[in-house]
Amino acid sequence: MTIAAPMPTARLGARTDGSMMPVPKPCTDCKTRECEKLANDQLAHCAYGFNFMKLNDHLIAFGFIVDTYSPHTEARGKVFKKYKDSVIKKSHIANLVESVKNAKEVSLSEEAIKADKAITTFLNSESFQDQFIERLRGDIQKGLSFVHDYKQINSAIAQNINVIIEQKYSGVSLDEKLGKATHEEVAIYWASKFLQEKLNVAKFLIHPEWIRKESEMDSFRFHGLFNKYFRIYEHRFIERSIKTRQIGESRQNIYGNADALGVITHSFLDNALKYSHDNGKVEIFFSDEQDHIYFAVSSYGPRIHADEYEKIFHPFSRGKEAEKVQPEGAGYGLYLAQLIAQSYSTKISMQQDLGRIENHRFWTTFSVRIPASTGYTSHGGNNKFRKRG
Amino acid sequence: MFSFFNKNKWPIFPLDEIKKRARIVVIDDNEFPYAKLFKSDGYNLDKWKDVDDLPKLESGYYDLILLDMHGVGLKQSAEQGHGILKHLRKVCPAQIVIAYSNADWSLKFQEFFDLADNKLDKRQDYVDFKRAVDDQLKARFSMGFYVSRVGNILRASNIDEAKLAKACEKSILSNDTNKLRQFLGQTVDGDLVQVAIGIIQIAIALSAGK
Repeated sequence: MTIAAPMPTARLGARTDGSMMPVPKPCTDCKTRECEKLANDQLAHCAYGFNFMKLNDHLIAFGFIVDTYSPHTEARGKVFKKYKDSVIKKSHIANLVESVKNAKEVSLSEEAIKADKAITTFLNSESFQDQFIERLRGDIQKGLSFVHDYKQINSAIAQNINVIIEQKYSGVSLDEKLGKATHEEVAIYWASKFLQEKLNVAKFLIHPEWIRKESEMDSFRFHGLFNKYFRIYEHRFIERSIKTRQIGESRQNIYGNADALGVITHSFLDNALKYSHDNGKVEIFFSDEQDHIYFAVSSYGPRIHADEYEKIFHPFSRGKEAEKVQPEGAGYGLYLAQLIAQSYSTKISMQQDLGRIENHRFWTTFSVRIPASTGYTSHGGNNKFRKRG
Repeated sequence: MFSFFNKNKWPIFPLDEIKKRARIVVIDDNEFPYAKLFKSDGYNLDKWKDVDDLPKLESGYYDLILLDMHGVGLKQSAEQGHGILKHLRKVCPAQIVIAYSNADWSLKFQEFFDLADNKLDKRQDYVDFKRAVDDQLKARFSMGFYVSRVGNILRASNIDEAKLAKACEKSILSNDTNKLRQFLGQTVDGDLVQVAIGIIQIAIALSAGK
């Protein structure tokens, strides 16, 4: 049962963010959990300075700060300053607590929880990957019927901006010519590439059979693949003054469908771009490990609540806070990226550091360990990601 | 004047020479903005909005065809570009065709792309188009291209591939198809022999500078 409380609640040891206040970091790290041992229903405070209150035999409200509560300890002074969003007026506390005590099962019934768990298990199963899209294919195709028109329009944009750049500027390579082009011309060129990649993601959603189509498989350097996508996104990061930093390097090759695996890099970068605040920062990590490549993208993003950790990878599902930051969004990017990762016997993980906050956003890392191909060296493989020229 | 053509030796064609000699046609019901770039780079390129002259395509007049899948060839085939490509593969197997399209997602279209010598997405850069065209034209002006095309059409005939390749090369360099015809006649069906000899005759004409 989930209670629609404004403050965090604990039920039989399971902690849930409140609708207005997340679980504060000291409570997440707290080892003693004295709030869960409270015998009576009086308002009390913990060593960190937060207030808590027993609501019934199983339910405790905790992690909030009543503005005029006494005694006013030093710890209380600190949390009062640091967790301003967790402060509740004393005049409101009685009503709020009463509303929680009387709350119905507003979001999920026990059956719904069971159903949710079953869905998660199913979504993580292999049979799902075949069945789900097959069943929804017609609806998805209808929903994405605009894609074909957009592809046509985008090819006209792509070809015409190529003609303008090729005719106006001299140079031995397209990169050199782009370097001489006007800001507007460069923007059109990269916007067209950006749209192309966005539309390509839909390809694997409608036709997941492409993910491991043998004719598309090849050996290539994963870092090279990433660079291809990064070039497309770089312009947009710069536009929003988001600083990007690459840490580490990968020289290992992987064997797979480059366009499909590109969806993973594309999704990580897309999330970082979409949810970062202006002037924010994005860190990209690469590391060659024994039999795989570790790849991660970190940035400040909206809070992902504990009960959403799995759901953000579900099809057409988005985090509550993410929707507030970006109301528009289909919610299939991470689902598809996870589907592709699973088809390569790996899994995308998400971690959020609730103690590292900037502009109300939390340091969020999406990572994946991609199996490296054996028998290939960094000098082998194809030339898919060679420089233009 | 320097000559590329020496007897008993396959001539080496520099890319500029290939560009001058090669004829390209783009068949697309939409605009092809890259046409002007190809022309200014020295290529001989025609643009058709539809399959205007099928016999011209069948004759091998064009060294390279850039063929769209949708909106062309409806007068000749319900399968549009795909139908045209299947037909060309039967009547002139040495013809180079680059399939290009926007509609490359459904696997049902894959036969079209698999049948072609290369594929291009309409949204790719001009440099990608140019590279694909140059690669195919260089192949078209090499002896190995014709030898391998003959090998492909006779693959099902259980013929010794090494001996076949040698016989083809000898035939091209000596400007004589009689011995090759005899060699093929021992094991290969008469129609296929004719198709193979046709391919070798194109190579002979090319090496002789005709």
